[in-house]
Amino acid sequence: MDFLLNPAFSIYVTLAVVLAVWLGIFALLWRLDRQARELKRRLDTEPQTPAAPAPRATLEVRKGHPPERVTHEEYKEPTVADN
Amino acid sequence: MSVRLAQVAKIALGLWMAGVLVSMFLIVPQYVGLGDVGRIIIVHVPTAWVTSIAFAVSAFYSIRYLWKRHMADDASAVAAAEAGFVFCALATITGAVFAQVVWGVFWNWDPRETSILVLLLIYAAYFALRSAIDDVERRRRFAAVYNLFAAVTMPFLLFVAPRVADSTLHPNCAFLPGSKCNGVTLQLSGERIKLLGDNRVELQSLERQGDFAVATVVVKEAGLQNSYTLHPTFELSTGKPADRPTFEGPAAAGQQFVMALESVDLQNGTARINIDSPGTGLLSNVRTKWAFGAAMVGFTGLFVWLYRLRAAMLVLDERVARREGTYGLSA
Repeated sequence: MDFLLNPAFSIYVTLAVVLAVWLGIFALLWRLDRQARELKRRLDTEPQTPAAPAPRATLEVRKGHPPERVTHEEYKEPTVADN
Repeated sequence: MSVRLAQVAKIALGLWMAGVLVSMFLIVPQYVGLGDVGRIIIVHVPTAWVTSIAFAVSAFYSIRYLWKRHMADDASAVAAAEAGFVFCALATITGAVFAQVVWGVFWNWDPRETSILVLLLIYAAYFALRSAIDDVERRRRFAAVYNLFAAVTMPFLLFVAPRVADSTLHPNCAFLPGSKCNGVTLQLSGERIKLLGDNRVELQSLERQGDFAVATVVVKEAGLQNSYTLHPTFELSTGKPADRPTFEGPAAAGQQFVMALESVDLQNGTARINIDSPGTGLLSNVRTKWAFGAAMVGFTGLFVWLYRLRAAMLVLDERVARREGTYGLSA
């Protein structure tokens, strides 16, 4: 590997490294550019799907009572008086 | 069609930049006294120049945002500032590499180094400000106003402050043909000692020898460790400097400074003395000049691609967030 540091070759080695770095940067930018374009196309063309319905939770309340099923709309936070 | 054209332009930019890099190493000649490190100006100066363009573009979009309140303008302002920050960091790093070879240290708090560091910190604060405000509209408004203040400091920190400073090692006057450092005027019966760059210069004598005026000048480097007695001459009939003695620069093996007597007034005993620092006249070589110009064009094109791509990504990010119902929520 010492020949890479030989003054006669070192400038070509440096050039090769710098070109490789630039190639990598260019490839990354090109890929990002393509992906951004594709995402924009999809956002422009695909209709917006309706929002997913809110999840309906089922809670079991155990306070010495038999299990009781309530929906999340019916559920109330327990108060001090409940205890 | 416009997409196809843009793609062609991007491929052309890729090839152009590759050509600039090849010319930087294989076509641009070595600069006397600097060796291969002189090639770094093909990257260093254009990145510094693109920094100023990027921050100006960022400020333009901030004004537009404050005026029209379009999200896309804010995205462009951020994107241009980010690209400018990257180019500014590149200019700083390449400058530090140059300083290591020419001055002997990566960083010595030269006015040019300090001012560019302050500029980097000012724009780092811009990004910090943006990330510190959760409310989207407030964040954009505050950031746009701050960006205008930041942009006002940019020309002072990049162009004015380093030139106003008396003591800088940075070759300020190197890259514009016909533009030279002013030098200093010394007077035998008055101000005979002044600072030129980091060098203390003292005019000890000025006399006529035939058609020439010969000065005796003592130069002491920063730290006053090394001292040189030089005899630059001035041809009275042509009104031009004649003998230009050289001396070694500070802490740089093989680096040569050149002293010139630019004008004399024998009756009053005054002489205008200047020092060509390394880098001065670098662009007098045609191949260097063309490679330098090509790099300016290439880096500017790269900046345009970078900031437009980043701005498009920011806009898309917001559109996706709005679709998903997560817009305005902190991550």
